[in-house]
Amino acid sequence: MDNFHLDDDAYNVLLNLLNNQHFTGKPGSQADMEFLTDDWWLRDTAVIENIVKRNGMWEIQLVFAHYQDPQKLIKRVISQYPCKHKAELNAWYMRRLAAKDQRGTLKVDIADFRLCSS
Amino acid sequence: MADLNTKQKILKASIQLFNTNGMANVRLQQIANEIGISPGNLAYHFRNKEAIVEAINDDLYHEASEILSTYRIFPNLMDFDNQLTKYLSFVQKYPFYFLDLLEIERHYPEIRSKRQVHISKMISQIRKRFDFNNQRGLIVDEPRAGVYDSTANAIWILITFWAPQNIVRGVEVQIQTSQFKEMIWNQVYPYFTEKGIAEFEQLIRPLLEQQS
Repeated sequence: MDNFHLDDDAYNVLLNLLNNQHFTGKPGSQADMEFLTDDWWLRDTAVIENIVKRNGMWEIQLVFAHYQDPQKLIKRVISQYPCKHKAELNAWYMRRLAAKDQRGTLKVDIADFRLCSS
Repeated sequence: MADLNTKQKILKASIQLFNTNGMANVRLQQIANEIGISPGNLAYHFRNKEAIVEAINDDLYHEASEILSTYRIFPNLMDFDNQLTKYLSFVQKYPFYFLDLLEIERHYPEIRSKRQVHISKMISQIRKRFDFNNQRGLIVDEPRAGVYDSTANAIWILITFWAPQNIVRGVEVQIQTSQFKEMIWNQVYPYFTEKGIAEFEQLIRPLLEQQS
């Protein structure tokens, strides 16, 4: 890397490109940032691990569920394992990793959500 | 200094001594004395002065590259002012690099060749800033072909020879932040449009006054 040398002409072209970017780039619209407010409810969610058997594999799903409103939830498939025990172990770690509430003070029961796993 | 390893201590002390005494006047014995180790111990880490200079050169090169990478972070005049602040702290940290310019030119070809790569990039950047701000309507069209090229060169000269001129005039290199910047901004000021002056007064003038 130390021996790499960009010649003056190439460097000037790069600087011009950087300069031009200011005039050709389009500013983003307000709507581009709406994902922030749209996803605010995720701050008040509990993360629940859900393990289902699918295609002969144990699939780890994480369910992000609002702790007050059972209608608000999203489900994310994380990974699959052939061994149930391994899936349970990994699901536990995944949940710990994803949970904002890592001490687990929010209590949510997965059964309340009546998830469809098909 | 307690948490630095011996190698880092040697480099730090060497930079200090180079800055105060000049590169040519520093002997390995002095560096060893400065940090309280034996010359033998020093020789274990760096076999001679050239090896020390080479190690310092690596740091210099990385810091200078980092300054060059702060181009077009802000889309306004702040960008240049920000880079000037970095150039100034570089000059203040390594005055010997500028004061012993000719010594380096003659005896340390590796520093010399690396410096030259930086010089051409530095001048290109300053020159392109004129184009950029001209497109933004802050700087007038070049009054005569080549004027902005020579102004960019002049600004480079001011940055590079700012430390030596201070020493020649008996002023410490560590002080006078705003004078340094003001001198450089004054090279650009005559070419500002009304919009340019307005942005300068709004963004840069308060900073200069704050630093004086």
